[in-house]
Amino acid sequence: MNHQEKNVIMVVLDTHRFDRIGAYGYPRPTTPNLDSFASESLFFEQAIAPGQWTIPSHASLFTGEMPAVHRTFQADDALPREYQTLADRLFKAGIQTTGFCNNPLVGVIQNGFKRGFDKFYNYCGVVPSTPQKQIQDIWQPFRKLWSKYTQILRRLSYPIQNAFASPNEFFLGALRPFFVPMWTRAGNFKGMTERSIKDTATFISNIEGQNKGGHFVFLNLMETHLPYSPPDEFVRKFVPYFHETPEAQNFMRNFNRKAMQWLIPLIEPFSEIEAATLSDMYDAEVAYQDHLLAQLMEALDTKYHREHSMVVFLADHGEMLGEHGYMGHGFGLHEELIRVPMFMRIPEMGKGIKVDKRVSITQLFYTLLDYFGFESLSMPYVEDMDIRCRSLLRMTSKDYCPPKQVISEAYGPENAIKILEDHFPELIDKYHADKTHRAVYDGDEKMIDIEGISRALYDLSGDPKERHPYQDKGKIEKLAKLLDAYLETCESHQVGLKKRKISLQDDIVQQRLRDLGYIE
Amino acid sequence: MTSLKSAIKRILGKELFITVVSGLPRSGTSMMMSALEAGGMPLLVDGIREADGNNPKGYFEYQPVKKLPKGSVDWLDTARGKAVKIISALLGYLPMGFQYRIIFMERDIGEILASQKRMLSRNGVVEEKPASDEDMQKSYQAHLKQVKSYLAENDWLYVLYVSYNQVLQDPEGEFTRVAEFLENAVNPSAMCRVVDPDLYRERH
Repeated sequence: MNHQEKNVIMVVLDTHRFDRIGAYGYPRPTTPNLDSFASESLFFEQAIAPGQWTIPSHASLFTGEMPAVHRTFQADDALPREYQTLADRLFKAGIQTTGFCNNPLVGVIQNGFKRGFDKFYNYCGVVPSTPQKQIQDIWQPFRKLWSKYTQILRRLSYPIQNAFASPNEFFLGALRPFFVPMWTRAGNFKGMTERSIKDTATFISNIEGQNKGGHFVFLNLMETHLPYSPPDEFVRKFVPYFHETPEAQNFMRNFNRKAMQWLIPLIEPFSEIEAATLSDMYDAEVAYQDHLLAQLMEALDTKYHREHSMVVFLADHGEMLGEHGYMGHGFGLHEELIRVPMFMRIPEMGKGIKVDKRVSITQLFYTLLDYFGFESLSMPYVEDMDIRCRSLLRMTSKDYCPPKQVISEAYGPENAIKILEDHFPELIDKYHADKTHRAVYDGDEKMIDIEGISRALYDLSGDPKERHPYQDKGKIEKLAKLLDAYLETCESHQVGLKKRKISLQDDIVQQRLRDLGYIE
Repeated sequence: MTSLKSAIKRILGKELFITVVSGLPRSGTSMMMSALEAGGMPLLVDGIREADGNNPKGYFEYQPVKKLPKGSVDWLDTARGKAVKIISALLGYLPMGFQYRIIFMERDIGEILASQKRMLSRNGVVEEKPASDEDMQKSYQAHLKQVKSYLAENDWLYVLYVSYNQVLQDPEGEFTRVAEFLENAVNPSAMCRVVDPDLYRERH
């Protein structure tokens, strides 16, 4: 089968914790559809996200590089042009690339993530762009006119929406509780999960109808992101005490408006009822999204797609719900945040194969290209990289040569750091919020390093919730060496990028320009 | 009115070039920005660094420019049809995909160094390892050689070299060259009004 007969459908479950999925051992019935799909997939028990939030993680998924190399980890960063994205490479190879996106940081902000997509539908933002129905009737000219009008509105709205990505007064003002309902509802912050799933399912069915492959379909779903307001039937099932407990209702109503607190560590610990409400409402959102996914699963459950389409479900990161003092996904590198679900149904591969070896979701970039038949790639730092050895499809092959370390990195989002500086400066030192955190694994050992200031070890076999950090000089030295080797590799890859620039190798020029305030 | 024209052109999909004023710090880039504004060109500035004794008319800077090395280029879309100041060291980070007209300011390096030292002194900056003027001059010369070679190799970057000293001597002649380079998007006579020889005081 050549690449024009194959398809890839990649579904990013944004902000989805692995431990709330039945297939990963969660006892509550939150995800029957995902569980069923996972049971016939290549199932990764320990997939690690390269970063703790959307921007660095998607940048890695789209470039195959780690955050320390692509340096795209702030809301107002853009992917360097040197990188051909996954969609770029597929599009140039004649694959039709289509995105259905609910996350404004991927679809609305002009950061280069949409590069290479032939069509990209945004379900978020003030002027969404969704597939148009091709119906020939008397209203067709009006629909075309309306479409032109919304295109102009959209172009005008992008610079305004971009302004909210930087740590400026726009952004800080928007976080005031009075404004939060405006941008979460009118601004479609979480997109339109149901509509996007329906459109993607229709698109996938049309691919089958045409019996012509060569498609890459990307879907990003945001239902499990704050604020939480799942339909009542899911609230009754997963938060059964909610309607009878005013404290739970008040807490959720207020927390849904306090967007500032979604982004920073906890100012004070949650009470028992607050922690339970937040956790259970998250479950209700997980279950609601899973319920909606049934339509997509149905579209994929055909002979054609089983034979021609590789389907991947994964999360870009998880979510902290108060554990270790963290909330949201701005800071920290605990398992709730960086260990993510990932499973893929691949034509001609056996059902229900479980992989317990730890992998990085960054490898998905190489895996999908491998599936489409790519053998080598030109990267900014090397002309001819053999990608097959990094592909997860070849894990049993002797040629498999993944990166020596599985690493995750957290560069604190500048927006969140600005909030801390302005309102809670004491939390910056407490959580080392302005420092780079890195997690490195060796078997069941995990070390979280904070720029050498702090190094904590966790034994994930005996302490999977990471409640008991400990020190062991020998183990720390071993993991620190792995981290150093990783950083050296990243540096060498960056050197390749720098060669194409006007290099400022001369330290005295650099220092002078910095002293004068002309460079950072 | 110019902004409205730019907006209409953008909506209609007409390509507008980005005017980049470049050079070493203290080579006359702020003077050129001020002249372009007087000539009718909109500027992309944020006014965060305010006017002071070093630059009495302002710095005409836009802070996101400093993030170019991190690949932050989304703001370039808003720079179409406007002038933005980007020092020579950051020119290499401009991505393809836009049309640029680069006005590269040149000035005697001795004068530049004298002016930079005054600026550091006024700002109370104490250099950790101060380099000698001789070393600094050599480094700047090597840097300028590299920048010019980069600009020559990348033919999608259109460059006009303008001498600061020549502008002071013959503003009309120099600004006419600038106006032609910018496809008559500015009025050279209006630009001449901002040239203030009194500001040309930081010689050796």
